[in-house]
Amino acid sequence: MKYRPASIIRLAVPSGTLSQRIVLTTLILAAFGIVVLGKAETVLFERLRAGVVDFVAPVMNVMARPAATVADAIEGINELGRLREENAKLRAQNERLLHWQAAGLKLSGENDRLRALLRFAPEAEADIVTARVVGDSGGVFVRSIVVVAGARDGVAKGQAAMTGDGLVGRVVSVGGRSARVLLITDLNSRIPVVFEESRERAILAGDNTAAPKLSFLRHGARVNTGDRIVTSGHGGVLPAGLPIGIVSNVAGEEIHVRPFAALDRLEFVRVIAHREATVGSLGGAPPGGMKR
Amino acid sequence: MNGLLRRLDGLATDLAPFIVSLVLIMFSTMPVNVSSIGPVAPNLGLIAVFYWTIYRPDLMPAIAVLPLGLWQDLMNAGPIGLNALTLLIVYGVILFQRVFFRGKTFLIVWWAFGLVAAFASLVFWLAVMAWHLRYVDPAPLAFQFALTLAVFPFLYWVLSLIQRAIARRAQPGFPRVGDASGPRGP
Repeated sequence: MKYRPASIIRLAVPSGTLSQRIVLTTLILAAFGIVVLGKAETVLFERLRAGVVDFVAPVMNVMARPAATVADAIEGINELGRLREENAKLRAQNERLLHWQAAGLKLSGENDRLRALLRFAPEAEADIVTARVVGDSGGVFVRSIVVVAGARDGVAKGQAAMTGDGLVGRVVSVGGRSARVLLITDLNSRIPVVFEESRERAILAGDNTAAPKLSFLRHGARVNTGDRIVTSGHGGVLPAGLPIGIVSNVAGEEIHVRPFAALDRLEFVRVIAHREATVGSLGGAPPGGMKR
Repeated sequence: MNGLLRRLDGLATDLAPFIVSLVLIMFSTMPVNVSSIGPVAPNLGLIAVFYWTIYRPDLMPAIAVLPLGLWQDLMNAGPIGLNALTLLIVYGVILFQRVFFRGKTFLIVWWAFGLVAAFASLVFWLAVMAWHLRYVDPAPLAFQFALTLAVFPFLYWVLSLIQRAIARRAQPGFPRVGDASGPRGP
């Protein structure tokens, strides 16, 4: 194809040839066809996508390291200035936590005795896979991350991903060595939750903002800023009782939850294997140790 | 160099813009963990397609833009095809207006890219809303637009280096439809 040279007279006048237009129109129609097909046939594209992500995950893993190192260095310099203050704060917190530890041990013992008394079927320990986050921002309007742990590490669709602070999201697609986690802030994320204190149920619906919304809350339920929200385990997808966040803002019907996990800078997440319950709704993974 | 090797070398050079674009799109999904930037990454694929369409349209034909858009769709987690559709529409606009960009100073090209990127954001936003059949807050897109515009000068410079390398490899006696008027550096 030979392109005609530019000249000042032809300024801003369409310069495509007829064949170029035909090709372009055909391709645009093809892309439109793919959009329609993608909306109807999600499984095929989901598998294709998992395959592609699987293929590039090792490359991304290597590239993510320098990026993470730079971020760590910046963070480190910032932290250096706050060291003394931080130290004092941690001492105070440590004292408080020791107190809680004593209380926790006492309650745990009491709990064990009461469980024995009631012949309560205990929840088994979950399998945990720790995975490095190698990609985030699944696009402008998608909140998701890619982790380097896949089917061969025991990761499966529907499992919960957490940080030490709280729930991050759930696994939506799995390849051999990578998986994609849909964050709880995503537009398509719906998590059945329960208020830790009042046991009111609701659905946590992401809206692409940093603070997802609570919906389907019982009319007249009392909600206060600062209430803790945990997973309810309903629907059997996620285990019950995983911490999610606190109510940050109540404005009439609009209730927003601020997640505990720092979703904007995730480096490692723990994926929690949760197999379908065998003992009523109490289920958990069969007894098993911790995987890496 | 014998004929086959030279042809292979020529093929590699011809594919360079496409491969560079693929890699840049992959870069767009890397975690940028320095906070306050948020999870939004610049649309590097758009910059690459814009650059090559203006300066080497022979090496960035429409048939290459579709796989690039699909690659972007597959790397991302959104509805499949929306990036491909947007990229092709925007490509058409750049291609048919590219004489306007040629031989202009960098500032004018930058400004023109701003218009193109704004148009791309608008098309993508409308496409996403049409797909979900609901209103979607365009704020992240506006942020991405600003970020893309901000990294444009740097990437333009990098791409112009690559273009010069391609031009050097195009040896005499190895016919290629070329674009003599290279870009002016930023």
